[in-house]
Amino acid sequence: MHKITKAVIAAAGYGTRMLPITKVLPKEVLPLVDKPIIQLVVEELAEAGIENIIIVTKARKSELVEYFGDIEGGLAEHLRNGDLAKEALLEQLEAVRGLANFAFVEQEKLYGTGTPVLDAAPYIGDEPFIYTFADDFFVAKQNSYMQMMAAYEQYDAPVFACQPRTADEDYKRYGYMGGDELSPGVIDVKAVIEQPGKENAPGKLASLGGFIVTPDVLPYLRSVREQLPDGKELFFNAALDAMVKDGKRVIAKEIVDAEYFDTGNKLEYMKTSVAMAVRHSEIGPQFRQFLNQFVKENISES
Amino acid sequence: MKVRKAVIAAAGFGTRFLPQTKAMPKEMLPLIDKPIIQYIVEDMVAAGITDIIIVGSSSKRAIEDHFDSANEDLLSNLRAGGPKKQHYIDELEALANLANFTYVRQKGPYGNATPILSAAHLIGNEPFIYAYADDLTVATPNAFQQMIELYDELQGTIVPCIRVTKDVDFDRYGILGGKQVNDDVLKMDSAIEKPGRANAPSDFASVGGYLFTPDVLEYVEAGLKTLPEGEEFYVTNSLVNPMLKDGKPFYGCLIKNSKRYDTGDKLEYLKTVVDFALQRKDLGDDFREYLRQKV
Repeated sequence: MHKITKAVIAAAGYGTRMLPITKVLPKEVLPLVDKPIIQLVVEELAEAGIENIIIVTKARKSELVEYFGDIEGGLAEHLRNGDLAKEALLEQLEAVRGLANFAFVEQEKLYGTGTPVLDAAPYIGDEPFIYTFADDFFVAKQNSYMQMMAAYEQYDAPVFACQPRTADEDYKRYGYMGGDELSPGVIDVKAVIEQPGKENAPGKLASLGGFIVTPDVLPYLRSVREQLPDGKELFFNAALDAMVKDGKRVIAKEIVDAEYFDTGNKLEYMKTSVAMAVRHSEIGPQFRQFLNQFVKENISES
Repeated sequence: MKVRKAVIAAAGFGTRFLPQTKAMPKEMLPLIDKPIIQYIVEDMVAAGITDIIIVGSSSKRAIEDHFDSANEDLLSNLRAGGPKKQHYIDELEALANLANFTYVRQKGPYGNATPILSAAHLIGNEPFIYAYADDLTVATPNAFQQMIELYDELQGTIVPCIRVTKDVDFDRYGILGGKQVNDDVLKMDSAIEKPGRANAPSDFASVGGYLFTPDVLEYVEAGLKTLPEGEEFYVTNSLVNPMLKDGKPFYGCLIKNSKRYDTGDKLEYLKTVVDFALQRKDLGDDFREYLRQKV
């Protein structure tokens, strides 16, 4: 068993659902109160013991590179010459820089969740790694990546993070898994279907958040890619599905005691902004007070 | 003379939003899907402004790019999306054509008069609006339209105001002194920073921003010359007070049908986001339902 210390974050989307703000800014750096969305993902990875993070982006996402890079000279000087509060901010910024070792890989022009994995794989070596996205995350009692790592350590197989999702529209949105329960919340996956619709779903567990990718997933992903018809998206789930069909073990781990947050469209982004403001250590209490009053004044009880 | 130029101050470090503002200028913080500064620019354009000078710093490139043509990579992605995504292409194109944008780097002493100094050579002998990028007043007609209308009538410097009633607000705003011309206009003879209710000469509170007459530039030059070494360069001390002393006409203009938003700190920013989201037709109902359940 290899200790997992590397992660790949897919951050190459155009963010068209958030236009016009994403005309220039990568959607991954849009704020949740005072932190870019991707930082919440990175913080959870760092807490789970991840030391090296490869962010797969498209060209021109320099804000993303700069955010995890050195502090710009003018700003650093301004903070150094300020009061104690500003010095504390400087330390906070240095802490962002120190969360992990960051590397950036440019995504080639092929759509789908499988492509970032193939783009980053040459830089990983023969070891398992976490694969996750930059615009959704869990807030969990126990770190969601650590929950996945525990399942990996027990069963030595690739792992899906998942949670039950049963609203009609969910079945058209997520990938679903079915299989046999090995232990509570751990499924030996027998079928994976992308956006199956309710009637064809193999189970209630939807793939949410990230994965643990073992080296033996990569040949399957490459072979799915080779057989991909022109103009189709390369879905990462398709590789796991191919593995399952080949008789290999794939695990789904239900992330427990956790709330899932998405920021992929305007509404979800707004809801997640409110949820993070309510939890915010500095403005949380005042914001909650505002929200109660605001709802009373602007949203009738009817 | 027709008001057609505006200067927007956008050179701050945005330290109150760190770490976020390490990745982007605070003027680019989104209210849902548009950066704050875009709301201000759109209001200016609707008020007839054609030339906008943005005074920034080295880390503000995102603002320049936002009001430029979209990059070809994004455009080709949108084109591939077919007619469904055409509206995005149109919207992005419109953004680049909103006004003539000029960008200057801020140079000079610390203080809110310095952006005017940095833009002075681009203004020439004409009136102009001076605005801060994190000050948002939503009004009908918009605040700039109301200011320009009053300027056209009175030909003096226009100071946008709200009427304050709460005690705390007299400790928070600059309050104008002078003689009321009518319900909504005050001919100004003084401005007192945060006087408290007891010492307040009126209930007209200045909310940030000005419509200046061209002669303010002489005061910028003079003010800089006489500024003691190491002092900060402020609009009130170095420009407004000397101009009032010289008898230049200043008018406080109550912005009618207005709601003022401050986006200068995290809490106020989040409150603004929530309020804007609720008013959005495409989000309003779902977001309203979410808030109802949340509380």
